[in-house]
Amino acid sequence: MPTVKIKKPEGENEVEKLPLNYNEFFEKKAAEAKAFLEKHPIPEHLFQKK
Amino acid sequence: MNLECYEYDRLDEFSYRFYSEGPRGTFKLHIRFTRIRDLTYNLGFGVVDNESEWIDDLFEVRNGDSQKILSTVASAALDFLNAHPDNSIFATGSTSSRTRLYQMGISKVLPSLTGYVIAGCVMNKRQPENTGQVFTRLPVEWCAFEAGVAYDAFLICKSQVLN
Repeated sequence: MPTVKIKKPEGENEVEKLPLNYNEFFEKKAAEAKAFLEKHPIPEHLFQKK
Repeated sequence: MNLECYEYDRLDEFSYRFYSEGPRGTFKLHIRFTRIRDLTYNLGFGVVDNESEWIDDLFEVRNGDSQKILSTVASAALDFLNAHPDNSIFATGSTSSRTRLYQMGISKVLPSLTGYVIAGCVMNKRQPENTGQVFTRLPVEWCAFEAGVAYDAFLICKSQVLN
């Protein structure tokens, strides 16, 4: 397994610069996934929670 | 999972970042798990174009490290599930060829993935019958992941949350 670094809260000297379309991109992908699962629901017996 | 991975940063509870490095340069990649319903999250990841600074999942890095990138994304997915053991992750490729790559990647690590349950969804599966000549169109179905089956989407969760 690779080393996982937990990024510290942004300080004065370090600001994570996110892509310009970051939220738009991931929200669009999530909407597509949601539509897929609504169209093709997962049978309860496969992923039934306790 | 003992495949070669890039080191990655966990930016927050749902987001990760790592860098692809190779002959075509260094590229930043972002991974994010976005909630799509109750306990199910979509696995999204993409490459940041160094010029436009936009993230895109069709951008080709071409650093000869696609397996390493996939392994890193898979590792981040397992890290997310370890941190959120009640959640499930949905994943599909941005193109059919990339979905196929995911399938091959999952097949490769499947033997070492104890403690997880993976399901695959097959859409309009065409399966040869005994003759090898006649094809039957089957309905869309979710089933337990099996190596060698061409899936269109995947779902993974930790097995202890299942009945």
